[in-house]
Amino acid sequence: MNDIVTSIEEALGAVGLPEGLRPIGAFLVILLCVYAVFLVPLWIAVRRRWVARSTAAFWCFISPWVFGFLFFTVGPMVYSLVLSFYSWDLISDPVFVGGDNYVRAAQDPKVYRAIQVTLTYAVVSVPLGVIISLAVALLLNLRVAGINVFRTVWYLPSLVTGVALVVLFLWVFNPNYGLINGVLAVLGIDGPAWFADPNWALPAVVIMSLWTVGGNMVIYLAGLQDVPTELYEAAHLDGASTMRRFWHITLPQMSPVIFFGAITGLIAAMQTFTQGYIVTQSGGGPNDSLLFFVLYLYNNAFKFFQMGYASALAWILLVMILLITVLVFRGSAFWVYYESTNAKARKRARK
Amino acid sequence: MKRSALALACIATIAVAATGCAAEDSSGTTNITFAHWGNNQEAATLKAMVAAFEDEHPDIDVELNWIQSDYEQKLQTSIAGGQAPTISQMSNTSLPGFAAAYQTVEVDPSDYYSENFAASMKYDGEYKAIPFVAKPKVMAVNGALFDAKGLERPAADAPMTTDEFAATAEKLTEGAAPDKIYGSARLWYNGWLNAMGGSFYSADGTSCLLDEPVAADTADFIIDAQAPDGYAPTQLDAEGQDMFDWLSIGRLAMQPDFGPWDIAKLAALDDADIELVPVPGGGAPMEINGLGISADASGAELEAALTFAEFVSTAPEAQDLLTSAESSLGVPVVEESIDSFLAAAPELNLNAFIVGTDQSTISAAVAKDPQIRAEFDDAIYSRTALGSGSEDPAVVLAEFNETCQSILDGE
Repeated sequence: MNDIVTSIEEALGAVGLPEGLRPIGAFLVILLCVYAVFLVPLWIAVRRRWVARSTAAFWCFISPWVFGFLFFTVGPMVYSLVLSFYSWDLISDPVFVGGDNYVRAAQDPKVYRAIQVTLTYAVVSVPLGVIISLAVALLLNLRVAGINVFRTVWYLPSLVTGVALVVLFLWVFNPNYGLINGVLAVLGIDGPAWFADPNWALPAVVIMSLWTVGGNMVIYLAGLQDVPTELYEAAHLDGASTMRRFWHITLPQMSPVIFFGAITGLIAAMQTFTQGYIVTQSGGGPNDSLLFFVLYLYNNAFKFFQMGYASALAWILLVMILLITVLVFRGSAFWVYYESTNAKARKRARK
Repeated sequence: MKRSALALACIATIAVAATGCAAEDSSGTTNITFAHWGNNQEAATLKAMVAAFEDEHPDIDVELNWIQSDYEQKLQTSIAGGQAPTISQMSNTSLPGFAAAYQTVEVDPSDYYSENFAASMKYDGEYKAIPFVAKPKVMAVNGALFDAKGLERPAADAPMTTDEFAATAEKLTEGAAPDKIYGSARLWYNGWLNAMGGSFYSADGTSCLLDEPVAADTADFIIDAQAPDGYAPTQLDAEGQDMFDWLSIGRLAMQPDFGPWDIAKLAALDDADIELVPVPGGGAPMEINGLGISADASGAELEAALTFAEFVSTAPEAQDLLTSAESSLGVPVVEESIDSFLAAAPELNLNAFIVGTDQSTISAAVAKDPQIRAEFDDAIYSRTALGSGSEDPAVVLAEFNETCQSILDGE
């Protein structure tokens, strides 16, 4: 590809285009070629009335996204799949090694440690996040004076995420000068070393993840306000208690929203990287207690120069997330209630 | 109407897809790019060196590419993407991993005052980069704390033994956390192994030497130093703390791992009584930075790159800029610039750094070094009292040595 770009740039130079404009010139030439391949058959199809003009217009308008998706998402994915069968340090030429990278992953104890850390984090942090978000949403759904202020206050922490969040919590969890151990000391408790203690490092990251419950809280709050009030009125007339109304109306009505929060949270948790990378300086933490799968993948790719092995790990992660997502989707038939789905269809789904 | 909608769609899609691209300026001179890392001061030093070069060579334009974080990862991806900078800064420890991306160059060891400089740029018997700055370590000591205890200050021209260091550090330690005054900063295993006379790899880089007694002795030495009644802070004590600050305010008596990048900070202290002396024992490992020239460079670009590298590496007017009272990148590698280096902070014994360039040893060039170091850190800090573990360092190191050797043999 680089040779093609260089050739185009040289050709543009030959026709007198200034050097500084040649990269964008080459890009536009490639873009025009791609569109020519796409538009010429489309134009012929329209002329011969195989395709309606409105359909052709649709494809033209959507084509930037389609090309972007193909070139920048599908393309790299296919490339990484191919790479997973090679040994490549990014600098020398790749060497074909067949399935060796996958065999190596199956025998690599660090892979199992990374899976254990990642799954533990996902299984603990996601349900905890869902429960706390929902509980806060229920509180913030009450009609009391100044409720909008509380809603804003609860949402605000969600604006501090990623690196900023981790740096903040590095100080909050600092064993000597941190806020948490300071409060514990006032209570007469000798706080743990948190990120430096293999037993407390992962729980500290789980606690850190709860900082952003405000994001899901907003979604749950919207879901709560969408529950038909007549259901509560009918239950109230029948003498249902608050708890019964919650279990038999709120929860079933909210189950699709909770399912959405859980599934997106689960996928995000499986891809956790920043926390481990910053807290451990990309090392994995004491006893590999923060060796998240994506961190191990990154280390292999960019610290150990093993791009082929890292690509194989990426595909293993994809399959893992796929399997877990399928499992959760299949399981959702037992607890997620869709008003638009009839009982027969739900029964069928359970089978 | 439908036809014009179709035409509009075509134009709109091309316009949308082309958005975000920008043009570059053109120039009539030979253009080369130079990738480097560093903080603001280090970047300013390199910028000044480039300006000095461009003054002498107006026909060559050097475009600086300052990579402020994840330098090696970004350099690696730019090489893989066929967009390698013409010249890139590279440390001797990382050079083996990038050697395949660089041209073989000619280096004359006699241009430099220490044999270490040219030797550190060799990989597989060939010079793959041109040295331009050395970063030896010295020991910084707080003289006031020595005086308060009635102890003689360490000699400026001869290193203490490691046993003398431990005995002195113990005498200087007093009080209890969180106000404890420590005799020494945390001891870094890889560095202290050198001071104790050990080494990670054999000189030719084909064997791991961590099963030798000195490796376990080093671990025990550090574990004793950071014990509750020891003279060095533990990892927890030091978490989030700046050892330079501790040294300058008198919470730390000796910092045996003091690099030249802190010279300007030290020179700026008005009332601190800090002295620079050689690192105890066999000294600390020294980092040397070189300039690697892209294997893709050819013709006029290659000529310009070689001219630039030679200027930065050997011309006194460039080497004189490496350290000043305002910023410090490191120690010059040519003899003619030593006086300029010493004059940057005449009140400090900067000659300790010059002594350090010969006292320090250069680690063997090992391409899998990053992976081995990562595995080592995991083993030593998770399983022994150097970190959060409690296993016998001798056992852990012997086991790790096998892992290390298998990684080396797999190269």
